Amino acid sequence: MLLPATPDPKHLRPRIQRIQEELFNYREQGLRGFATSSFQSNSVVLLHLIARFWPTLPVWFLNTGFHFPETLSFRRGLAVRFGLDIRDARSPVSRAQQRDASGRLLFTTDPDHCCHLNKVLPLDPVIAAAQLWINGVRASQSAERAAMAREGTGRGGIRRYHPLIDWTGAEVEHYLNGHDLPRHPLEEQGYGSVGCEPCTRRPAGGDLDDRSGRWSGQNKTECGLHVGGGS
Amino acid sequence: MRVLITGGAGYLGTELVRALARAPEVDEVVVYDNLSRRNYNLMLGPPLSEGRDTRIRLVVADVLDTRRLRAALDGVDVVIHLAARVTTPFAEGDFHALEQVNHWGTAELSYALEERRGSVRRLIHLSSTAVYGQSEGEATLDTAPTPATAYGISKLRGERMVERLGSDLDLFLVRCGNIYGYSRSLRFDAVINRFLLDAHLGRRITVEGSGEQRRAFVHVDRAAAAISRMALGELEPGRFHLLDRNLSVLEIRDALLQLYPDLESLYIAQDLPRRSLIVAPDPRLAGPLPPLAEELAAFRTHFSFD
Ligand code: SF4
Repeated sequence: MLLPATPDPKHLRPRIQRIQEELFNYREQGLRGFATSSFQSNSVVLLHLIARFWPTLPVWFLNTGFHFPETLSFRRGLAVRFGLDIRDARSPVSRAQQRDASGRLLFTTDPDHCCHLNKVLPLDPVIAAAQLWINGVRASQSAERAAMAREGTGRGGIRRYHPLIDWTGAEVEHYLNGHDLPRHPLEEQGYGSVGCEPCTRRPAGGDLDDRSGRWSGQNKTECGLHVGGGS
Repeated sequence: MRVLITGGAGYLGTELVRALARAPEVDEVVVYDNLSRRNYNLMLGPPLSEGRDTRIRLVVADVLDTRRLRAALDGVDVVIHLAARVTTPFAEGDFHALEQVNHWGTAELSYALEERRGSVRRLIHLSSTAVYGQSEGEATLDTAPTPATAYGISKLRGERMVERLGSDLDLFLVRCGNIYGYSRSLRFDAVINRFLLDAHLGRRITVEGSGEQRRAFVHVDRAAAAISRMALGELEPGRFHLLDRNLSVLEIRDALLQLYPDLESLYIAQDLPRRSLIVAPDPRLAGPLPPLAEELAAFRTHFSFD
């Protein structure tokens, strides 16, 4: 994939260089890797870096079934633009079996279980078949994420690599602007962090670190994908 | 050509199955329906086309049943998505129940279609004029939808889910008015049908508000004919308004009075302001339109006694 040769913002160059080297080393070791992406504005940096430095890496999108159509279109557009191998991970549990005793979908009564079925379970076979999991979490997004390291071990002993862990929201902005990269279409409507439609509230302002619109009104801040499963 | 109709055992579905089963280019009509309304009339009564039609196949399943839905799409060329939770005008149902089927059920179909890009070549999605909410003037295809009810919101969200597939297949996005007219699967909660039944039974009809509020209506036969033309590729894809005319409750009553001169009306909450919604009929679907009273008279002949 030939990406337009725009120079990286100067102050980010050393870190991008480091990511390039780290990715190169993982490839050299012959690790079977994959990335996961939620296809928000935030995610575009990692996707762009993958397209530049490891374009054959499979990128899994957790298609929970409850995304905004804008997110689904955004993922298709980026797959074409960046030439990425984007795959949908879907729950093995049929939607009709995701209703509670009164017939309502689980996000109305038991979001933790809904996330388990739609965000945690679908990745199990992907994780089992791979050795390296790359994700764009950043420490400044939440307390849970701040406790995460650049490299670590996840469910089933898989190696985890978080190349953007030390990036701030402002730096993500610089990268996006520097390369003139697209934004999630809902951003201009005031959304900060965009997840599943039922669990995303429209926040008043919202910058790229702001996850307050996710599971708004609940104590829940994470879906369980990135926490709890590690060693 | 193999056509799959979600909600195909319903009111409009039954007439559509009838229309398509008569088309020579159709090899099979797959009716995908969970029979949630407990209406089995599609399967009862005289055959829908010539003789016993082996080209009609019923799959009893929910549109949210991811696995069965995907399996049912095997070899299908055209999908007509009618499966929906509906409300009658002015009635607000359980918001989640509407969302679950109209929004997330449609989403489920959209994922299945997205995965088999290239196999299904045409999608006809039945939406509703309720996406317009209330209209100042006449809502046209250029009017921005501003739904005013939970039903209208859920239908608009369903539209958005299939609109993103527009580059994968020929998309017909059909905003349909309130359906009326005889069918063996008819619903008597549809306002014109309910009024006719009341009139026929010698009961009074109940008019809420002033009775001047308007809605878009379409006869079930004309709705089925229009959708069948889309399915058979006789129309160019795009967004459509499927309605015959806009009628006020009082106009419906007046047509009934021609058939049942003794009909009485009860007015309830006359001071209550009622929303009107007037929608522009679609010239691409225009055809001869008999007066309402004439259609109601034809409907009346289906009652087995007076
Ligand atoms: S974020 Fe909400 S809708 Fe999405 S999987 Fe979790 S509970 Fe379900």
